[in-house]
Amino acid sequence: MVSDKRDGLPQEFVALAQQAAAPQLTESALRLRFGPRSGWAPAPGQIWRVTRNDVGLLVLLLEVGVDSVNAAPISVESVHAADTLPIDGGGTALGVPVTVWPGLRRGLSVGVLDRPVAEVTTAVVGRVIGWPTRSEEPVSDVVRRSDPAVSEARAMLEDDLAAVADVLGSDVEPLGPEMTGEIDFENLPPEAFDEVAERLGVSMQVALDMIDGKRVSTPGQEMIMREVLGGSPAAAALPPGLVTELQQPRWRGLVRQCGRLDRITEEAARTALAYDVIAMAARQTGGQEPSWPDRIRRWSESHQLDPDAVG
Amino acid sequence: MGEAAIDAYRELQELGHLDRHGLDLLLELTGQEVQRFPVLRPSSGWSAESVLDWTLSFFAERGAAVTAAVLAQAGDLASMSRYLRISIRNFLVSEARKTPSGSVRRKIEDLLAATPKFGQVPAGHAGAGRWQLSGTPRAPFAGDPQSLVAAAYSVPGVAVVRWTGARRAPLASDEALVRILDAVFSAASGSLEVADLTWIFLQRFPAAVEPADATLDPAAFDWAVAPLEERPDVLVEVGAQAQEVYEQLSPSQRALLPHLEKPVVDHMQVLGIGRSQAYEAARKLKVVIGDLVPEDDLRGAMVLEVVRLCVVYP
Repeated sequence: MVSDKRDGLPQEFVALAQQAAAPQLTESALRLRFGPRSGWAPAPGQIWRVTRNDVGLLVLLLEVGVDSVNAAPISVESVHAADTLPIDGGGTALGVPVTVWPGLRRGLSVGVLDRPVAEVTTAVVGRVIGWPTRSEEPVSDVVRRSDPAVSEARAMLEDDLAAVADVLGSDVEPLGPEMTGEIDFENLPPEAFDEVAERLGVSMQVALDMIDGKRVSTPGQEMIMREVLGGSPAAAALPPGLVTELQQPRWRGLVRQCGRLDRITEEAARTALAYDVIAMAARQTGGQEPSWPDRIRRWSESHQLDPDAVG
Repeated sequence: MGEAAIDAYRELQELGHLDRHGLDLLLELTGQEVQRFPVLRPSSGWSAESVLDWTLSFFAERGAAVTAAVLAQAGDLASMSRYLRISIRNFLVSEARKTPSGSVRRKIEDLLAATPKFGQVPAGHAGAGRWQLSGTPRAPFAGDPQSLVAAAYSVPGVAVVRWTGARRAPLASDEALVRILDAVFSAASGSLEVADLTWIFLQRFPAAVEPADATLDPAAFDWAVAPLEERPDVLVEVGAQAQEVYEQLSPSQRALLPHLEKPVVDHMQVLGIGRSQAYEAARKLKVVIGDLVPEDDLRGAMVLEVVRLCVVYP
């Protein structure tokens, strides 16, 4: 429960904040509107929050593929310029004027999609798709001489978009054979195995299984083995189907929970989760291609994690 | 980030608006950001009251948009804080840019009224009340305003001085300003609003407020905003014109100029901003230098002298 105490804050300030309320955009309101995370399916016309680290911005989805989307950034302000498409407050669920920047549209990995927040009409999507891209656009005097505040806003938005687009493609990095090396068992001192077990935080039996390749290791675990043993067992490449599945926004909550539990970055958590899921799948189905959504769900159940949990 | 940050995001998600923690966070961020804008500093220095005033001004103007934006696009406290900080900074840049316009407008009005060669379009004619060169009424100017900025720049021998900062100096001498007005009206061949003339003068005398000023390293910023003539370590004679150009550059422009010919990654590093913003800052600096440094035989030497000043006093 939020405290009612507002010591030291002028009533005028508190009243202004209350007048500015946007209850339709709280997480609980959005959940009512779009349902639980597991049901989210990116579609053209939706406005999504995209995030990476502390950068967050809104984008309008124009085209949606299996592992990438084509999207145009949106700023929450009304900007009238030659390369902007302002939408008034009634045009979206945000309730305030927003501006679509069609010239800045670009491809993004579905992995940066965080949550849907609103939609626009198909007419708006059509206008944005039909907008000339920057390279097609004639150098416009209007754009070049626009208000400095507009060109600065455009540049800032472009940088934010570049920051999240930096992970275009898979950020789950399958280990390639070039990252592994032969372990010279004959010349290894016995205490090396103790050190591996200790640094991995596992029992000696588990450590030996990992060294023998009987148990799948995460990239972090392989790095430790390489440091101590001078090599590591060759890891099987991650199935593309699993990599693509884990990029979907429906699993992003689960990935974040794993990251918080292990105190690692979201990217590292996604990779570790992929290896955990494939290890479980290998034990349960052998060589058969499993249903990755089912496997991920089972893995989360076995670890008492809820992919639909908020956060 | 202080204690204010602990629950601000959760509180916002629970209530749908900023409340105690969110407003405390806003005050904290505004208090940090205003320090970067000497032009806004009250004569008595910053106080809790003056920071609150700016925070209220910001929220009164942009509160609804900021609340909606943070709820919609911030996924956690870090991204909420980042968005609020950038929004406050943009607001302060905008306010800092407005600061001189009132005094410029008043100055222009005074000069127009006091100089017989200028007159107002009489009632009953198109553009009544606008200003023009004295004579028969002229139609309102409808051309490219940038051409009038160019006309303003074309007037030679205008000793310009920096007119933002703690001590606001006049734009230039009255005689020089009247010559600029004359040139602008001649180029327009029509009548102009005082607001148009104010805009042209603001372009002609670039305001020393750039967004990248707020991302500069604090030590570099303090060093750059100190008046050159007040530094005890100034031992080098500098050309008067180069010094005038130097004084019109913003802190971030002074930091960037010595690196202007380097790749954009260097600009990003110097200014602490992203690629597109760095491109924008470099583009604007090239325009400013092009406008301020006369196109003559001494241009190269003068640019070098300005660069030297920026290196010695970044």
